[in-house]
Amino acid sequence: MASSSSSSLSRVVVKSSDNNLFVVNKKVASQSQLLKQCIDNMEEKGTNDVILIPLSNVTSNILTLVLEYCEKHADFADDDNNNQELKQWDHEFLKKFDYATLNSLTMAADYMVTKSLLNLCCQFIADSIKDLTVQQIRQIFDIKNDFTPQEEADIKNENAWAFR
Amino acid sequence: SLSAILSKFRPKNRNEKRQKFDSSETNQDFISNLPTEVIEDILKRLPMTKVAQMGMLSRRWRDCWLSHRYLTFDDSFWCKHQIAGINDKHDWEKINQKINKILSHQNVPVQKFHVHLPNDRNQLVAYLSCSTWLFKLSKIGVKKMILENLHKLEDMPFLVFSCKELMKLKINHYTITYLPRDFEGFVHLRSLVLSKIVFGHGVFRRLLAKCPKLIELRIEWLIGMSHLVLDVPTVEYLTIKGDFDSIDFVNVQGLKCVSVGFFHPANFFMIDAFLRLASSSKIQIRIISTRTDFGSDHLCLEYNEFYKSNHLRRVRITGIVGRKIEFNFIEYILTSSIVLGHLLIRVEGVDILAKAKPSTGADFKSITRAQI
Repeated sequence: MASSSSSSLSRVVVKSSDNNLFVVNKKVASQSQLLKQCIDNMEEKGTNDVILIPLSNVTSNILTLVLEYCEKHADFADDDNNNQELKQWDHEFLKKFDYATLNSLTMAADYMVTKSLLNLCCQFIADSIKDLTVQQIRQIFDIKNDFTPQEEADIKNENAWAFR
Repeated sequence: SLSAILSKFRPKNRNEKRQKFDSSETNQDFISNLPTEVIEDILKRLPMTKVAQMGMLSRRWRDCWLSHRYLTFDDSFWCKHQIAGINDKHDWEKINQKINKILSHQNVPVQKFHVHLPNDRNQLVAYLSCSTWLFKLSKIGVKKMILENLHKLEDMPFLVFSCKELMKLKINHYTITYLPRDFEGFVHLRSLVLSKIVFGHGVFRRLLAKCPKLIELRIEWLIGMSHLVLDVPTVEYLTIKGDFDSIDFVNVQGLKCVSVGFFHPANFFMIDAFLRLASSSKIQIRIISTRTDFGSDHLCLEYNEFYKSNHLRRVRITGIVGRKIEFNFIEYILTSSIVLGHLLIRVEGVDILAKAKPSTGADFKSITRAQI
């Protein structure tokens, strides 16, 4: 970094869409590329003030979860020997949520560019879809059939092989 | 000024395109409102047949299926075309038509193209229109390709060499007799896995010379090659499985990590080659780890570049089950490493530990030099 060490920030304040403030230490915030780029940018400018980063797309309950994840992963950032423990934690972390929360969390991870959380969410969703039938997927995720009868017949015919 | 910075970031993160997301506002169905890239990220983790099934959910999902860029015709795909549940009999003709059809929808670069040829004993000729597919892929572009041949050894389709945009390539059980005269190289290739390949004279070397950006190279069980010559300056991660009479590291200056698996665990020619590599001061090596697969066992060595004394300083061996051959190996490492400072041996499995313990003690009594 070009700027002097005196201007490096130790904390940032993140504001959720419902106007709650979260004080986040830099190491934790750096788990999100979006926050990291904001911090880097401010440091380059040599600002000494605590910066406030408003995230107009993320509600406070979802932001709390993202930050919980970032905090845990920041703890493990320096040693990869404890991978197994972290993996276990990741799994337990996602298991707690309903699909709606998982959905919002996935979107927030995508928006905040927290790649490992996004991967984790995508894998978790894929794993939960894997063993479901189309009918079950339709019910659980409430997906409306918007095909015309002709379209539906076409695609059924086309993809019949997948149902053997 | 902060808002200016944030707004600079926003287009980059495509913020404007996104709807506000909040669990309480999700009245639309779950996952359908995720950004397209995220849906693609989820679908690429599923078997392709599941993605095809999901194409019947709604128009949105049909479109996702039709634009699915991860084409995986692996064994789970072949299973769907099994004839009357017989394991080694598939409907090759139908599969051929199916792949033709799916590829005909594609007009944007394909992320992944994976074809598996099963070992159908009754199928005399592996007739699939591979060349047609590869021709199409070479036109629209393909990033990652896996050709996995469990059927009889055959010539690798030449049109693979026309897929210039490849970043990852894995080929299994093919013959490559020569390179096409007009082959310009795989200029974007980062990862290359060569498994059970028969190379024509000099082809291996010339192929690697045409991969200027190669970072990961895996060589597994090459057929009929006894002398391995590696001239791969860009490669950082190297895996070698199988035995060679000699290995010549001509140019491996980028190497960070080497993994080795021996078929005959007593092949110390190869270990010697790696010890020499580790002690050569010309080469910058961070870690070399050699991994030996005796069934489920793993041996793992670690050399550390921070000790520039040109000798093996740290060894980590894991997965010991107490076999004689493993102690021979350890002994060999100990006798050939004069300044060994750290030796870590991890024994796996409780039952095995009990068995291994007495002999471990006995073996190490005779070796007093190293601190264990």
